[in-house]
Amino acid sequence: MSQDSKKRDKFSPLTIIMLVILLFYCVALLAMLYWGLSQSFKSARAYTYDKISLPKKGTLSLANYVGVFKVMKADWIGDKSIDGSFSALMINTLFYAVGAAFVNVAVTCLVAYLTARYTYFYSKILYTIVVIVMVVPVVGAQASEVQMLRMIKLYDTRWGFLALKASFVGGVYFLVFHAAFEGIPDTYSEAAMMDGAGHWCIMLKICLPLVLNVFMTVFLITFIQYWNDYNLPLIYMPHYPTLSRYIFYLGSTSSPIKAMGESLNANSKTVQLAGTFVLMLPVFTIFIFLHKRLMGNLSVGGIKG
Amino acid sequence: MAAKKASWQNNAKSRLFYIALVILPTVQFLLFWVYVNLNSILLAFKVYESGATSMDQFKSGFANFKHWFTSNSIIKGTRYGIHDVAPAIWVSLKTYLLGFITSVPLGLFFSYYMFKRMPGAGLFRILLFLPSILSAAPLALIFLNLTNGFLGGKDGWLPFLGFGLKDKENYFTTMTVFGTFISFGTSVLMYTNKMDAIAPEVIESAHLDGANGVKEFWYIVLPQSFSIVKVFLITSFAGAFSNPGNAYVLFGVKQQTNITSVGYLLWNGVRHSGVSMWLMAPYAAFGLIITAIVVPLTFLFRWALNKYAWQDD
Repeated sequence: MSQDSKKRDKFSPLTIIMLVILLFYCVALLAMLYWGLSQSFKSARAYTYDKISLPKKGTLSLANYVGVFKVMKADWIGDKSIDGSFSALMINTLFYAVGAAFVNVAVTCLVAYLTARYTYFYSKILYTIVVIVMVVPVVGAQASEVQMLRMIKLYDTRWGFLALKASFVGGVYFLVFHAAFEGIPDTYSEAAMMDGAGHWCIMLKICLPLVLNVFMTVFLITFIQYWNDYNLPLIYMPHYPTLSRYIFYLGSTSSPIKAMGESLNANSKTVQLAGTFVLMLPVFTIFIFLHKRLMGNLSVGGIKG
Repeated sequence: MAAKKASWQNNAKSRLFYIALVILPTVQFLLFWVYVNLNSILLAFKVYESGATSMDQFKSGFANFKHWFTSNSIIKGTRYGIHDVAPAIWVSLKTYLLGFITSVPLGLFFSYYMFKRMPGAGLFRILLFLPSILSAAPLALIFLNLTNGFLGGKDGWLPFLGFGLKDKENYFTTMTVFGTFISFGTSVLMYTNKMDAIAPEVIESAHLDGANGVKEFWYIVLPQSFSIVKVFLITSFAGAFSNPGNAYVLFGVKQQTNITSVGYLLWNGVRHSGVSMWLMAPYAAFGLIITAIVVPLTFLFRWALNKYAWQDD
């Protein structure tokens, strides 16, 4: 049903209850964000003594935001062999968020295309593999993954991480792509073939453009997920710190406060909050301009087999 | 998947094209999934000498498995041991079950609200999605301070809510509430898109037959969109035992057993093992033990869902 053509229904007891819960949820969420933003303008000293109230008039300061960039110049990782400067963090983050996300989504999309459009026996095997990997929880292979990357000399390298992420298994997005490619009538390919188009042409000029919206949506969601992730880079490429790891670091130690020249024995949560909003800025910008795309194109047919 | 092979696929060029494109993903899968998991099984049986600098300095044996069943393990220096196994499994199960009875129904009801295009549906959809685009670490920080200061904790406004950072016994509640709070993004999106595919005639005829909102939800909307709910239920069951969850972002390095799930134990254990293979190998064994427990449970769960739950496809 088209979203525009659908008429709004009347309230029922169920929808009234939902409205109340949703309103509560949204107010709580917005209050959280507002509180976080306002605390990021508070000094570490003021925050230490009062973590709850909003900053008083005249006490707002940009020191925490300056601190976010100032601390980067110090040896915040404590390891001289690791470059923790802003440019390095930015390059690593972009490599991880854009590069790894693109590779992961492109490979997933490609294999979904092949399995949905080419009804060979091997396609069935691939589809079954995806379903099995999705529903069978193989737990604890991280130790082996690290060992494997070390063995092929790709541990703690960007390329190793890309190779690790060039996978088509393990995510629900394969099913999203599969459903999208399955929805394209076979007659499109047949007609194109009759007009002399080859397989590359059909894939690149007919089928992929038809699922471009889905691709962009999945890519954006994956990009945001990787942009915010500090877990995996910490394990697989510890010498390539990302912005997200840096922001996490900021809140877990008092050294940023010292680096900012304050002799305060306190953690640096206010600096971390400021860093958080710096980290959020690109994601928020993307969300504001592309939220319809981000939220509009995903559907899955369910797991078969 | 289309059952019949189209005529244009029946030639050498098609096969060549197919093989050329499928070969690299297949190699990646063989290396990074098949080999890694086989190696994980082998690693579980490799007992490295303490301080081993080479990956070849090991003896075969069951010490890595025994580590999780005895308090006199020969493997010294690991972060976790026998006392952490049962609590970790319990935390994973509890987390999943609580999600099952809170996040899933709420997500479905929220999606139904969006599906009915009720007032504010568009705005609610955006705001529900918002936490999934923000980094969990700062959200956790904000959440902790607010719940601790305003609501839970002994000094909070509503201490009976039982969450807050001050009391260690509240950690799990805090983690669950936070997990629920940020869980609606993708699921609501998928549920709503699936609900939007329900034919309007079906809804209209139900209305003509006198169905109210609850009946419409229960007899039409839920059965018609249950296939996607099923995907989430099954994958999140598997995920409950492999994802580290939010313990680290909420509580950092605090080692409380009531927040240490299986996924978190493995993640933190591997992280702390650094480059020490003798410390890492027990986690491969633990992963294997958990896989042996969870795989049959997952298939049983899937079978139960297929047999007793709604089928729409």
